Amino acid sequence: MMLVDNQTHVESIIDPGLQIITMSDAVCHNLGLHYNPHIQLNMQSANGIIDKSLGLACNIPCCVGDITLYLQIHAIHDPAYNILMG
Amino acid sequence: MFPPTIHNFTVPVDKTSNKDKEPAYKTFALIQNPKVADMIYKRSMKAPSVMILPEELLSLSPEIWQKMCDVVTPKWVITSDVTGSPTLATHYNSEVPLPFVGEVIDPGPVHMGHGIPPPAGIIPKHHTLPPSAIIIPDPYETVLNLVPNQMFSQLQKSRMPCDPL
Repeated sequence: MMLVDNQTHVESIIDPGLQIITMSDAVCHNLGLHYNPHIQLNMQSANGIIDKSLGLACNIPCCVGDITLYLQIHAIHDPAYNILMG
Repeated sequence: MFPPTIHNFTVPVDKTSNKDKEPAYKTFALIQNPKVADMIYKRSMKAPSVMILPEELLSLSPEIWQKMCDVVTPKWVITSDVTGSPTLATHYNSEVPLPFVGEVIDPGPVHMGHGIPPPAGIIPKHHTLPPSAIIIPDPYETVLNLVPNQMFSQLQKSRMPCDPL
């Protein structure tokens, strides 16, 4: 559980195989985070499907224990997770 | 391919032993019982109204299973900690002016209680992060910013010396 944007704790999954940090659009909209739609990725999932990310949310404060990290999080449409940390 | 124990490679396979056309399994709920349906049918023929036990009702109607399943399946709900989360506008009416239009946001530092920094959504764009902040860069954005310069330098290196450009 990680305190995201100093608002709520969100369950996150650590994926060593992922190079970026992604967040579901539901959590992103619920927290009111704004993302830059000009930075989009073609994301290839493990099952081979390629989806386009929605945008990049910059400098989102995420608090893990006593450490606050400012993360760059890509918003993904309707994934099976809340936050996936690479 | 069939294993050698049941398949002789010199003789064609016996078609009668092929059970591919038979279903390997079927979906069946434990509460299903054909006797219940017969019993309810006989009762309904002899009485103006029929009282059905919940077990008999679930045995008869798959739609009830789905409704029961929907009711008892845990759903992902938002906890009460995010009651102060902002609401999103779903429709934009150009005739009605948006609230807070024209207001100047105070560029000074934004403070909340207990030393907790404010959410990123209400920080003005020109507001700088704390000097001791740990910022994790995004690899894709970093590459995106670097690629044009690299391509430009590679183009510079690949040019022939006699190229007037």
